[in-house]
Amino acid sequence: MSALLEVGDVAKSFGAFVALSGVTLQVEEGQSLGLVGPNGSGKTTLINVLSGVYKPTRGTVRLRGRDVTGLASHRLCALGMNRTFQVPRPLAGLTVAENIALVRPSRRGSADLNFDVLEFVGLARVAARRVAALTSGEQKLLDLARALAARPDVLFVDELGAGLSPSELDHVAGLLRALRERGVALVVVEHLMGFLEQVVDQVVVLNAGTPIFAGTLRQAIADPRVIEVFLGTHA
Amino acid sequence: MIVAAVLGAGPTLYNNLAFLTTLAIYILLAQGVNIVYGFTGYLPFGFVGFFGAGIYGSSLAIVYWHVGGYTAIGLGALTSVVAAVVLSPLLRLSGAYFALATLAASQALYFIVANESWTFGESGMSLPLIFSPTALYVVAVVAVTVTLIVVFYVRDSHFGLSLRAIRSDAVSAAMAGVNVVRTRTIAWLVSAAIAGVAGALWALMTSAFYAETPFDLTISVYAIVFALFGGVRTVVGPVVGTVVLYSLYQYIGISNPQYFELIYGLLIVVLVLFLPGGLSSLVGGRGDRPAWWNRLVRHRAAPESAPEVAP
Repeated sequence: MSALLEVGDVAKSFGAFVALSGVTLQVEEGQSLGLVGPNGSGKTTLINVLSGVYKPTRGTVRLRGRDVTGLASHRLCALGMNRTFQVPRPLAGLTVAENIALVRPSRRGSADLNFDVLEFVGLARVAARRVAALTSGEQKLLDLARALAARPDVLFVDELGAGLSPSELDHVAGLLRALRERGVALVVVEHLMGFLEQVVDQVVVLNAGTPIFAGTLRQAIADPRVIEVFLGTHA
Repeated sequence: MIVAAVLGAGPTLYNNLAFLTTLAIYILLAQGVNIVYGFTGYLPFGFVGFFGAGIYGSSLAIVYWHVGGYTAIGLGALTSVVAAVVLSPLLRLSGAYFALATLAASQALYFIVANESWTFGESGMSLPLIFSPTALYVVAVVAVTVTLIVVFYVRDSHFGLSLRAIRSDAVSAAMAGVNVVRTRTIAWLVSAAIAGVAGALWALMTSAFYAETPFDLTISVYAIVFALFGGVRTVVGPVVGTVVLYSLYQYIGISNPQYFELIYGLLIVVLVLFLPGGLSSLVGGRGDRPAWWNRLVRHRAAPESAPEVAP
């Protein structure tokens, strides 16, 4: 039985700059994995590679054993992989409801996501509104709803918590926990450790484009390599 | 339907079939620009290239194969679609680069057509009369009607929603499952086909011409300004824009066209900067209207759109 998502030795370079190298990780069905690391360590680049925004320079990505390396975003969407954006990118010229109506759900969908996504994230009351009229917090929720409308089995969540108020953070953490219970595998990029603690089982720590640690968040915080990366040896 | 009825009644209101047929041709071109610019955000300054391809595709078919009028129109559209397929890699460019690349492509096409003997570049094209002016006008009205139905479909369908999504943010649209390249290319080919039909109609109407006229960049400028003025991403906007501005041109500008080209050039700049939704946006929903207009008529703002008070 292979893992839901297998990332094997993925590398990504931009010209001479190596953004990712030797990234190997697995996500099991319904697992929630945190992805942490200092700024510029390659977290968002990894998500961009896994969601089809960039093609990897090397390595393989497998979903349920199927090779999906370098597939375009819309194909990955149909196969059950989706993401949110660090800076939310809802479709500004459209209404909230149109943003969701646009999405064709993936065919596979083993996760239990057959519900009204706007109701779920709490945006149903602004469905007729244009995206430009939403607050930044609401835009983040819409980005999440748009990703969920595709009924993904794996969802990459890129700093959904950044810039949210404490009450909004609680709301979002609750949503992510509910998704995990419904069988969606999550890969969560986040700087807010308190938020991460509520949402993930395991973390992978990236530094300079390479994983240096995998384990629980508690172990990570105590690990000397992780401390060195975040604080420096002579801190 | 209303537009078709008005166009159908046109000759009884105003008996100048050459003017009315040209108006119909410009409506087609403006709708072609509407689909490619309004729905995908690509501004095709070389749009006249598809018009010219349609003109020469249909004309050469008539001259060499002696095809009938309807076949000629179909082949004109086909020629433009083939040109659009060849030029589809240009869709990888964006903004001004795309606009200039299409411009260059249309002029390249012009130089080929103007210099080859098999296209009658030297001697000029001369076609037999196939449709009477009245019959041609009827065909043009039918073409406009079909095109308006297509634009209706593009506006209201999932396909149109996908196009608007791509225009807004291609990366995000792709994550929503939209096949960006395919969707954009289909819009591009459809708009080329419409320009091809317009070109074929023009060839059948004009019947004797040199290559300068079919590839005149003014045609691109007019089609763009007509579409922008009336309002892109709507069905009626480009029709209204064409009727208003082309009539103006016909009665004021035709004696001194150089001023009109200047005015229409300036109008493009003004429209893009201050009224990107065209006239239609002033009568549409509040969200469509430009901010300066909303400020101007603020006292009429609906209470529904009042800013929410944070909890």
